[in-house]
Amino acid sequence: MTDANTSGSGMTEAVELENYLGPYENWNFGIGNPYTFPAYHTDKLKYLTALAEHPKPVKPGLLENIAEHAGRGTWIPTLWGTKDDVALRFWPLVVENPSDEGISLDSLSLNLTAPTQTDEVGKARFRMAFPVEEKAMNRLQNRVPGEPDWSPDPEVPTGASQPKAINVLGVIDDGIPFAHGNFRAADGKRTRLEFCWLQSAENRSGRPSGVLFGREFTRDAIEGLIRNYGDDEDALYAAAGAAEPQFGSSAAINRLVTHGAHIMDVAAGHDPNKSEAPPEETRLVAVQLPNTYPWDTSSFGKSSYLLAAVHYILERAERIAAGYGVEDIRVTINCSYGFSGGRHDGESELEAAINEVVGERRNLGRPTAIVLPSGNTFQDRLHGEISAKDLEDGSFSFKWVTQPNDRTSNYLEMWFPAGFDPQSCSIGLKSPLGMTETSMDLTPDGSHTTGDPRRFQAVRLGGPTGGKAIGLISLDNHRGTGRWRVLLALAPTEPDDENLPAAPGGVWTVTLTRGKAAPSDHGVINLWVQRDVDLEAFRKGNRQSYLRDKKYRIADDSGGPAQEDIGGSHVRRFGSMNGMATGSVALVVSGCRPSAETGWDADKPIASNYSSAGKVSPDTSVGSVDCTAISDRSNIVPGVVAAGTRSGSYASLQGTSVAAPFVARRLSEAFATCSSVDVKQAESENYLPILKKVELVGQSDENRARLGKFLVI
Amino acid sequence: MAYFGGLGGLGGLGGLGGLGGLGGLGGLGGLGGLNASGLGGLLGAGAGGALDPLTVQGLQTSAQAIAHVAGDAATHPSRELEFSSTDNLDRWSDWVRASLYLSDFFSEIVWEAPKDTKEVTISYRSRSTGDAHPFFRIARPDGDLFDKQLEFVRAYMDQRPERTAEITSQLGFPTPYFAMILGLVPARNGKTLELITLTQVLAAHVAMIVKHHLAIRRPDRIGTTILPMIPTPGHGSFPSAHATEAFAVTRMLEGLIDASGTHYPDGEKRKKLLRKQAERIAVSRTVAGVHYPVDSWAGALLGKTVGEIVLKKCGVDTELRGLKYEARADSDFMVSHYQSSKWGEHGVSELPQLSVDVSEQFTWLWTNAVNEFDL
Repeated sequence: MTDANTSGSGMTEAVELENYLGPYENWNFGIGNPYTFPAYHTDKLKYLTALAEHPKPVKPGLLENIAEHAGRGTWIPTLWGTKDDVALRFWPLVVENPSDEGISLDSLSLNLTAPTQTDEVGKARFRMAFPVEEKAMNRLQNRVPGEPDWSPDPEVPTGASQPKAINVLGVIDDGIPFAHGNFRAADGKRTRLEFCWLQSAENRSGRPSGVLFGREFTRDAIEGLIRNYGDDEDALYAAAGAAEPQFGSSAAINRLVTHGAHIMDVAAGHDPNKSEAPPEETRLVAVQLPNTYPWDTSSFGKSSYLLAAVHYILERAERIAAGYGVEDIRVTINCSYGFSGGRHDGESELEAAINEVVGERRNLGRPTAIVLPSGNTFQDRLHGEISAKDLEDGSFSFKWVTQPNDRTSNYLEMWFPAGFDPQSCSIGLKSPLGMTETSMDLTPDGSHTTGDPRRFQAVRLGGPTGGKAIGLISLDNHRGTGRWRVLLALAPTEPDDENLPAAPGGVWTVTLTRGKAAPSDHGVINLWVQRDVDLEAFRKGNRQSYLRDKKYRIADDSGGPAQEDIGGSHVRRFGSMNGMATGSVALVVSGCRPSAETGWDADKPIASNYSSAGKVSPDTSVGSVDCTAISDRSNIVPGVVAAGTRSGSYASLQGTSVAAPFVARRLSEAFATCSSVDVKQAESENYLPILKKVELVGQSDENRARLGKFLVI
Repeated sequence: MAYFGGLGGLGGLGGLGGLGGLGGLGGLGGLGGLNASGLGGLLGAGAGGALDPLTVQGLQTSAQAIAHVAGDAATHPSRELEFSSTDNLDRWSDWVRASLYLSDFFSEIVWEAPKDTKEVTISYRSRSTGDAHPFFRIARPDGDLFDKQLEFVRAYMDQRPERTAEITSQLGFPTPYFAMILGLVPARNGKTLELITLTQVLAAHVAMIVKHHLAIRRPDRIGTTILPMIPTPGHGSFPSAHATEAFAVTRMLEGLIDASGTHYPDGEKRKKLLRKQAERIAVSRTVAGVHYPVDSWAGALLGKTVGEIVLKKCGVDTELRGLKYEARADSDFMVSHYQSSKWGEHGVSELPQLSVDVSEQFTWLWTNAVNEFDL
């Protein structure tokens, strides 16, 4: 993209989009595009995932009847509910970009609208997301994927000979070692993993495929690989096509340790050296997210892949149910991921989409659990609150620090409380050293006649009228639901392409001015900085931006990291919840360690230093923790031990990511034994009542916010 | 002092350097870093070396003070050592044995590298018959093959953090990584460790001959983003000496496991571990950014033939079939493909079988090594 259209026409096209694209799309496919990951601005990008939100539920079968338009394809990955004819508002999609000139905002608009010109589909709101690599895409597939070639394992006892309830445990993660010995049955040859979908593996043509992109391995296929290559797992994953790079990043499975191997072992692993037999009644389904996943640790880009993963697990669970003759099969899904931004009221696109599909399945009488971690950002200064009192004088200024040598964009979200219309407010953004200052009235731009009310303002090095764009201020009425959001996006402080202008690193000053017409009695305005960390060895050059305030106390009086918000700062630890874990159907798990002071009492766990929490007050306006599970062995021995990628290897991993799958494991065990009545009664509390747990009585409000009411053991 | 302490080895190599013709061993890929070598470790003791000045002075003053009690300078009839006998080998310093093994081996190795075919052929020439037969032939690939191979090198880069300990401790011979699998300790397995080090030294020398003629530039010369995590060695890339050494040792140790009878109840599993370890050692050099996967292929094949020559010189009845390698641009190196049924698709073809004369010295070392497994 040339500088001419980053500074001029690109913005005009953005405001003329007929179909609404959010502020993240406006940055990543508009003026911020040159700063995004290389795959976003190559000319070869052909397939993009998207999340469609329809005004009312639509049966996905509709898309099968729409002819391709102007050579632009649209596909739906595996969806749950088509057999039961369930209509859904949210669909994951893949759209084609036939242009040889890469992706721009107007080509996106065409890609989305041209092939979906029916009223029902065309009026959708879209979230654009990560691309699908051409070699992973099954271009020739029908719009809805075919059937997997699968049959149940005849050696698993069913019916009267099975004392337990056959249930499904799904894991969504990266680097899934699907042939690992810990996921096998007692004989060491059969696997308990019924289906594994590698979302970004090469879709080798000529093989039967039940997935739109990537590759699916059924239990038979995995057992075949184990038979042929079981004595060399490096050869196994290479032969399976799981070890190849995607979009230039090496496959995670080639490493000794992956997040996915560890998490899946905590959730479903069984050491073959143990004397008791593994729980064959719990059938496993795994989805490996694409390698593109670590490209962006903000919320952008993940939604469609994650939603597709949830649908896939649920769809395959119904096949497992039919295969083993189980009615209303119980499903537990663990997803140890998240983001720090988002509206935190359960209504972000992804949360609303998961709420919908899980809710619909529960409505059919089929127990469905989603287990999520509370997040690891408690000490990261990514969250703040602006109260009505802070705005007494008409405005409130705060500091947002970006770091030097940061090769990725930075994002700060400001969320107004429900019912607060910021029309008479304005936002100002002043760069370090006062090099540039930009302000924007928080009123929708009247030139947008369709889509959600919104306004965009580029941040330019030379001030609002000239110079190169290095950021974007945006306002939107999120999903048209009356939750207004301001998003500040800043370019990297050290762009990969040194010819691009860099956003200055250092202390940015953000000023929110409350106009006289605005309400003066309102709930807090929440700030969340998006997570921006360099995951493992992906070498993307992320550096975390954060909120700075003199009153924020990093350490307590003993010199250790403070565990409470003690200094009266607007920057807060409480309220740092994973933005993906505030939905109504999620069972949210924080991380803890045993307390040395109390003699390792099981009922006195200590919240792990990093473990995120909701607010201290009993209100759950930004989400809350349901329960806690071990994520550190002690205050000096971090993490818990679980499997590495190769059979027999082990590693230690730390974070709420490892606490959630432990709860998922316990829930699958409860699902195997509890009566239908007990399960049904526990549903409204996301099955917390049937878990084996210790009630944490007499704890402080702070501990309750961090640990929830129970320790799961 | 660690079991596999290395500085002694350096001292020993200094001794070898003194041979003149063998000077420069210190610069061999394997010999520089030295974390373990049966020979090297022993060489420190065996080579003696100059004492410190104070002790030298002390020896002289004490000699003068005590010599008078031995009386006159008359000689006594002494026992003579046997002529040209392997019985004497254990009496010599370790570095002397190293020198003898090396001279023996290379007195039977010849090579040619004609400029028109750009192929290097290494042959075994029997001292008894004078007949020479090729055991390894390798074609020089075009430069663009290595350009394509860079993609593999880049794909391996993200494993650098998790392999750092292995990569930096394998700058020298990775003997502890094999010793781990067989449970070798210097106190009990001195001759086995000597055999391992000998095999590595021979493999390294043969690899240098091939590298010199093929003269292939390292990945960091043609790819700007490779940025190796260890210094790029001062010799050609193709074939990899680490792969040659590791697979020569593996082949030799496979023979030793067979010869050790029932010492290991699980010999076949140990062989698989050795092969897998050799693969990992070779691939780690790609992770580090100093080798292409086809370097590992070339080295692994060359190493196999060297290991088999060593076995045959030791008197072991094993097949030695020559190998020819024509590298393929799309070859990644994996030990699962390193077998005759699969390596054809990677450009490997077979040459005729050849025989090798049994060496007294090698057989002596082999017998002593095998005897270490009698418990």
